[in-house]
Amino acid sequence: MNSAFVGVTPFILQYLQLPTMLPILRNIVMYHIVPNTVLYSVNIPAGMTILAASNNATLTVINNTGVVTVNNANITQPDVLAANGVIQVLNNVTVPPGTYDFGLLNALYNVNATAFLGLIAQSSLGPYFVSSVPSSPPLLLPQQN
Amino acid sequence: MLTPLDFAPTLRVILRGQGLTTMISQMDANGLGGLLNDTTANHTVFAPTNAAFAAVPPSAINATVLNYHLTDDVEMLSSFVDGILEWSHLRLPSLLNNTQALRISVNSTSNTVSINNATILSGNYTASNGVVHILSSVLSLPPYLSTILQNVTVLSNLSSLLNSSGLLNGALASSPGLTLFAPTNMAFSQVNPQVLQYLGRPLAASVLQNVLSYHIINGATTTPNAIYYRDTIPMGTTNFTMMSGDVAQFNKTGVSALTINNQANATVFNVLAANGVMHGVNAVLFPPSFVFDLQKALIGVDATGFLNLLLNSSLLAPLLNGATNYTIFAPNNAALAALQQNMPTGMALLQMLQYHIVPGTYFTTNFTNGQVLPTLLFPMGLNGAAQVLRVNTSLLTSTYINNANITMANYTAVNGVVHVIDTVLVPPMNISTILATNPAFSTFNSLVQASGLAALVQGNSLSLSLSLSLFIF
Repeated sequence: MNSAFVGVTPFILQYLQLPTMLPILRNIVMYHIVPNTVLYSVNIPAGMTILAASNNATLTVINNTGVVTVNNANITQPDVLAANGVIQVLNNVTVPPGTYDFGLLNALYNVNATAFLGLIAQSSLGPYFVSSVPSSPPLLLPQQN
Repeated sequence: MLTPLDFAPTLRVILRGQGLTTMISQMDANGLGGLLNDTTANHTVFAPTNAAFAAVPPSAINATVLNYHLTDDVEMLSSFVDGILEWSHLRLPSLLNNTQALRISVNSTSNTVSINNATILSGNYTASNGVVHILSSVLSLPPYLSTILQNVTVLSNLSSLLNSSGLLNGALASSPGLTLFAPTNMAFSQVNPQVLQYLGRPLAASVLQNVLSYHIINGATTTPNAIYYRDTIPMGTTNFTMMSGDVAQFNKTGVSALTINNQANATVFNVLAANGVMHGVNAVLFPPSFVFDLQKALIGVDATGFLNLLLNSSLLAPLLNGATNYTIFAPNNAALAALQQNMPTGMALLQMLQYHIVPGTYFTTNFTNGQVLPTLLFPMGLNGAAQVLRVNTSLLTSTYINNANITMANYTAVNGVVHVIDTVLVPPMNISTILATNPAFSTFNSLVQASGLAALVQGNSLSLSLSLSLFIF
């Protein structure tokens, strides 16, 4: 749902669609697709269920007396029927384990270091700036001008 | 050799002696005077008093009416038993030339005997050629069955249905020799209201006629031609072919103990009619050929447009009368009309119809919110999975199937159940199409496109099975 993206800046959306970010984008998209299972809300068991997404990462589904959460998001519109499956609509972005931290890039964006960001984007270094690795590389930021 | 009877007076002399002069003069005036003198045949004469004749218009008296006041044997008052019939001298084509019956009533409290509605004031005046009983009023011929039905309050439901089927003003108003087993309003109140609603629909006209004529024995087609009064229905078990052509089993275990098809008991006997006789029964009879199947249920709920679409499908039409149970969500005629030029055709139409049919019987009373019902729709290339409908009861006041409101629920047939909905159900689109067309999902869709994973959300792609649970952020 578009409203789930409220917490995600247009910059991140834009950035995710850069060619260098493709592996990360694919990982995020695939994390939202569970293959070989059509899981209607009525079939979600009470309590916790672990589902394997198409990127092989796990989604944690918790059915607490009818209120269903997927990782950190709630199902706000259950069971949009589709010919080839079903859509459960969430109110929040959920990202694969290993937590992508866009903080560094966001920080660059927020200090208006767009030229430098552009260089990162053109390099193959993008994924290094969006990483689950606790030790993000220290960054020495040249002046914009 | 002479017997004392040869010296006894004739009926004419006895009538005159009792002052029944109008009876004599009317018999003479209508060419029946000879019967009173004829010593070769015996008659019982029910003779109205002069005052009784004076109370009816002269035009009402004719040979037919007068013949109705005579029988062809000698019946003393002591032989009259409550409820029996006597056979008059009158033979009418409307009764297949059988004799017109007279109904005897005996009031044991007042010890009075009545013939039809007339009371015998005194009797047993014996003649050489019969006996005379004196009547308080002139007998009139019974009305036709059609007239009786319209005047008996407790038969108003039957009368109304007979009227709409055309039988009331048809056979019952003119055909001779009918025996009608008439279900009372109480009997109709015990019929499933959904079946009654069905019988009232124009498309059920021929079935209605069939059901109603199952209550009639057509004496013109029996051998011998017969009207079945209480005492002429045989004791024991007898199968009669009714006017509808179906057989009914009659089981008579006593003079007034008659059961039809082990279901309906006769409660009133021998209501005489000009063209037969009527007995009251306490249950509506349905011929064995009557089966309340899904086709009838669809007519009952007036989903005639949807029914026609199903009947035009060689694949789906047989299900309506088949042995397997189905639940049909039937759009009402207004819902179909709303489609107008968007009405699908060909394969799309078949798929639309299949999406409204669920194998098995599902009553709304057992629905749970979010329940999914697998339909008959199995799209090609989706690994054989049935498309589902989703129950939504969260609104409490009404039950929805997908986006359609159930407006009439649980019309129960022998092979399933029909629920009427106010909107035509549209089979779901592919996830890829939903993402591309629903603006609420545009952000996610743009990421799917950018990631090059569009094939992942296309169901009929070979690289992916159909089964996707798609959690969209």
